[in-house]
Amino acid sequence: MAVIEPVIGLEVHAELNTRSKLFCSCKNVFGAEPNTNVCPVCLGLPGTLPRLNRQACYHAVKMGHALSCEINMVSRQDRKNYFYPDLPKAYQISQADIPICGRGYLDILVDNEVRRIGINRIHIEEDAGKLLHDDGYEGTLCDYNRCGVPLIEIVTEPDLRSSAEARVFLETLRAVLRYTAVSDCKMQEGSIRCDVNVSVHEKGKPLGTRCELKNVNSFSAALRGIEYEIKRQTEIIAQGGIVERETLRWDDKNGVSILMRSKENAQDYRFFPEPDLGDIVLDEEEVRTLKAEMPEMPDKKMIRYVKEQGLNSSEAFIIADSPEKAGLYDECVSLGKCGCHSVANRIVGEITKYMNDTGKTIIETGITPENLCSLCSAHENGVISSSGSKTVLDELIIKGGNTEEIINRLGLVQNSDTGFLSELAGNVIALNEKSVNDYRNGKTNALGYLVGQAMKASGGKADPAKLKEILENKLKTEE
Amino acid sequence: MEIDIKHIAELAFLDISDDEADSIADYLCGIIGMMSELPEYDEGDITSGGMELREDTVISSELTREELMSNAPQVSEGCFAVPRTVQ
Amino acid sequence: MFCGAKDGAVMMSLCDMSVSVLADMLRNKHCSARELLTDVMDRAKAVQTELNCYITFNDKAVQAADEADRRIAAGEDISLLTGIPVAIKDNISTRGLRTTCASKMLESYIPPYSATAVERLESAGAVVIGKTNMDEFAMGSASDTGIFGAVRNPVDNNYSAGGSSGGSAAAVAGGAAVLALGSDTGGSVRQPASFCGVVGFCPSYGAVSRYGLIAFASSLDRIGSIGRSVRDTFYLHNTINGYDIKDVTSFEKKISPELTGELKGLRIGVCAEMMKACTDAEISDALEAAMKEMEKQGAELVDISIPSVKDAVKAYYIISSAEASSNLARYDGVRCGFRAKDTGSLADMYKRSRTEGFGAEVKRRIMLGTFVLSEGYFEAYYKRALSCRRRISYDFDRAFELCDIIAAPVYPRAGTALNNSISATDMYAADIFTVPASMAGLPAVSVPCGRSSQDFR
Repeated sequence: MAVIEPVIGLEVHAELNTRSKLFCSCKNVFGAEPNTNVCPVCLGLPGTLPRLNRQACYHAVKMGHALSCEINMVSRQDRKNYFYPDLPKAYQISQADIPICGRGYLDILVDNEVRRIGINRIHIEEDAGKLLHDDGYEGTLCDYNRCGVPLIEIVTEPDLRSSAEARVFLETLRAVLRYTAVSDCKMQEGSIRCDVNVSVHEKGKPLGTRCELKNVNSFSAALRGIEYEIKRQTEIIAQGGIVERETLRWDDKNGVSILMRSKENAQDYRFFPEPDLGDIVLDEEEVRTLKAEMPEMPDKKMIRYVKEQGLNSSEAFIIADSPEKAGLYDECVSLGKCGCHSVANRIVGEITKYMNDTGKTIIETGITPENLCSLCSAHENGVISSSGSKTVLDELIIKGGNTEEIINRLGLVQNSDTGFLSELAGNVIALNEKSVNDYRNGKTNALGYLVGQAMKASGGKADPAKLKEILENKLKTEE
Repeated sequence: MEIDIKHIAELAFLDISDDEADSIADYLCGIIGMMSELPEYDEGDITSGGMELREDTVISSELTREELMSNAPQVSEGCFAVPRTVQ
Repeated sequence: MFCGAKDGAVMMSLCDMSVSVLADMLRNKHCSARELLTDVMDRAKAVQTELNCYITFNDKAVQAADEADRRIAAGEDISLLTGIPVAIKDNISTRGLRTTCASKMLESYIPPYSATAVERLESAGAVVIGKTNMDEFAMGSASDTGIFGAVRNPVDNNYSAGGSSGGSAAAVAGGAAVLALGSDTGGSVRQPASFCGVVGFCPSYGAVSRYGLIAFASSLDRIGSIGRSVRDTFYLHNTINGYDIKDVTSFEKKISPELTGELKGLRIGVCAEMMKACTDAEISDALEAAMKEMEKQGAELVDISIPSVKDAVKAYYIISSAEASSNLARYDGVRCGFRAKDTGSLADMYKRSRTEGFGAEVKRRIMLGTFVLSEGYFEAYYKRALSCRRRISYDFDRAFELCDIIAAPVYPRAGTALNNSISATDMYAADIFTVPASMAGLPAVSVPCGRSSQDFR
């Protein structure tokens, strides 16, 4: 039985967070009363003309740099002609032949291995309005607030091979978008959307016919849609049929894809160069500066964390996904005072939980690289116990401060002196004959009891790990 | 040459009756015939050169929603109303 | 109103006078802006049935005239155009004043904003009299494809005023306006100006902002000026030209601040291909006579060749109809304009609104444009037409190394009879003299140099 391999490509649309729209000065904002952020230009009233927003261009360039794309210093805009009520001019101004950014790539981690996913292009285009289907009104209502909002479209090469890869790609891409700060990526506000292209083929044979899946409204919907399409197309082939080139709508509620357009009814967009706009000529200095000022992107961070520092993928993702967490982590590691795993554990654990619970950012907590590092090294060096370190961390998060000061104030320094611990061990053995016998007779959990007693006797000051070690030795070697 | 009038009309969202289709076909063939004599040049179009890009500042329209929607054939709840789009 | 002379002899009406004379009279209080407006309006209404120049009269014109009078009286700094009645072609947006493009599609459309050119005129104190009749959406050469009927030529009512800016040209020629704005895509200001015996100036592409001009062909459209003399036309153009931030294709075009009328040393190119295409002996004779006169006054005639001239019309119709098909797609009955009654589905509403809203010539051009852009044909037609345009520009560049201006006829005929039926191909081919300048983005002016000996007076 031949191996059937799925081939997946994605087209991701992200709304840019410019202040104004792409071709007019109306406000670019979500959630306003219908048709209150519109003007003659974005309504496409007769006689109006577009004016291109420069910030949108340089946002696209930034994203291009983040994805290692070729930047086309001169690019063109084109009209994509079709009729729909959400498109006032009956054409969308987009980019066809010469987009702002050309080929690039994004590296993703799949099962701890690096997979390079090719990017075909990034171009800018205007968003359409919103159609509302109201139960009260018989028809459809058109709100053009969103019409003219700048979008970038990021098109991948058909390099993805599974829904899982697609998911990792989308999450990594979203992280990159957040890092560049060109889009706020709020899926629920529609500021990031994707179309999916799926085909299947026998491994080694030519690529199959692809189908395009639209109306994918979340990353998890993308997964479900991809899985469904792979299954659907595989079944067709298994039964000796041919997959038709189709555009389908993904119905997430019912978990099926519905035919929108067959090959025969394919749209003819009649692209031609937009005569109302000149070439987009980018400023070399500005493009260079944007590249130079690019911070390290999350995809690179993740790979570095896993491959060089030995973090696991999910930790690496949680840290790299947030510029703040990554910043904190990187600074801690660079201070060189403690191990990266200690830092990672605490960021991924308590710090993230606190941030999620309170909605605070790291700046709003009391954590600094210095105090976090001090805490980690204190624990690593046995100065404080695990429970002690939790206590310190909680205070650092809420109030901040100096780790040493807190440890001393709360009397958390634990005693690791061998002599002291030896004496303690000796005493507890002498006082708990029954437990000692239990242990010697095979009840290993009696050791825990003995450790507990010794800790109590020391007023909680003994180093529990070392104490346990010494106790165990004594029990094994002495009579 | 054969021109698919019905298809073109569909693309342009125009109703062309069968009678009209014939006369439009004649018209198109005539004009296309005239245009087909265009020689092939190597050059692309005249380049426009760069254009001035607009600064990203918000300037709200001085017109009210009512004024902007004043020519709409049908309005409902602050929106332009049309027959239902296909789901 | 006439300016009476002591001996009772009838003098020229105010509405037929030149801008300079009127400006002078207004400043010296020999007449008021209101009186001037009344005179023009009376003439306009008197000839409306005969000529059919106007679609809508501006009921706020009197206010504008009174405001001009106030400014003059207050001794404010005023322009030459203050108080001067100007007509505006009905495809140029005027806030609060119906703008129809002579189409059922926009029959009730009242723009919420004004074109930049109109705003500049109004700032200068000009008085907008009304909106002039035209070919529907500027597509045509006789101002007869619109829903308000044909515009007739003041010189001879049996003849067309030309198109598509026929209403503007006829109004100026007939004294129904002192000045008028038109639009020129392939000759639509120059040709009607020629037919009506007035001056029509089509500026360089981009010299006048297109913001507010209802688009026909975006890369070819210009707002042109029509007046009874070159000087009057010059004043009008100077008021509306210049870079506009709302139109990125506009630019600040250098223009001489004064008209010198100096012909010495001016090299006038005579294009072999164009002269050959001029088969009407009366026209070529008149043109030659004019050129000889200019030579006498110091100009130099130079033979030039622009080989791609013959291709210009073909490429023009491909590009203009392609862009038009896209520009007119927004008329779908959703946000403004005509919506058909009792339609069912959305597709039905679109189709019926567009089919009933557009006239035959517009629909033909939309079909033509849609065809040349469609899959499979784009390369053969549209792309080829674009490279042809570049070649035409090159040819002109080379020609202008040898001469400063080029002289040519405006149209193969002095006029077109009303209701004449010539084939579309022949009608389009007649644009041969005006289209090359349109394609190259060059400015051109139509200046009367003779009258036909036919039944024209």
